[in-house]
Amino acid sequence: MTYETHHEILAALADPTRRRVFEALRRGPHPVGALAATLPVSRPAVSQHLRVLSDAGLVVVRQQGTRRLYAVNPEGLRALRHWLDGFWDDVLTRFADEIAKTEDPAA
Amino acid sequence: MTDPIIKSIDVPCLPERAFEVFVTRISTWWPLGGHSASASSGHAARSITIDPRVGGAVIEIMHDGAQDIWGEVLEFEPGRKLATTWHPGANKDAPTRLDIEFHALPNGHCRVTLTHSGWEIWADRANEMRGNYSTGWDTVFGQCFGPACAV
Repeated sequence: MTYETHHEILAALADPTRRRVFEALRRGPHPVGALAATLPVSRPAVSQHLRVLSDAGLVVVRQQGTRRLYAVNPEGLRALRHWLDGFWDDVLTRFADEIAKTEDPAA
Repeated sequence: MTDPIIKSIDVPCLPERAFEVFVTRISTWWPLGGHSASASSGHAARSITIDPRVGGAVIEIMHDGAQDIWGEVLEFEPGRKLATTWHPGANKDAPTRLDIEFHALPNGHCRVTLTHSGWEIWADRANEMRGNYSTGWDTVFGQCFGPACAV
């Protein structure tokens, strides 16, 4: 996973309204209209948020008949989890290095 | 529900010392250039501080002096445990949780166990991904932590 990918994901979810749009999809795939009906934002705004989420890899669109359904993309979430996983590896490794640097094992 | 991310590492010092380095010297060891809000704009953060009390903040001072609050201290027990909410890069109404525990080992060393939980707040479909995601931790431990601990 590239640095840019996780950054896009975090940036996409940092906006509270956009996160509400994303969380609404947890209940299952929805068309734009149905999402807009449950959120205090206009339909064009919901579309814009979905575009950002989609660009970040968090949401996928699929055509069902005449409707376009938006759904959570498990790949995007997995990417986020992978990043978090490696993130803590980096952090703890640096912490252990610091201890090793400052601690005298013979003391 | 999603299993938390759990990491542990053994360090050659007592828990009190490990806790102190973790909390009070976090700016000297935290990867400021790679893992900070500031880093996303291409500049290393200036510092990270943990206000050492329950209710205190975990704060990044970004390269331009702006603050980014990463979380709030929930538990603060020197030599034993630090717990915080954790929401860098996102607003604090959707925090995950970080627990860092320090356990004494018989040889005078300390096992530091980090548990990052609650990230399913992002989506409850997280659970179905677990099956796809079982690789990695052991390998990373073997390749990265082993050598670091052997220093």
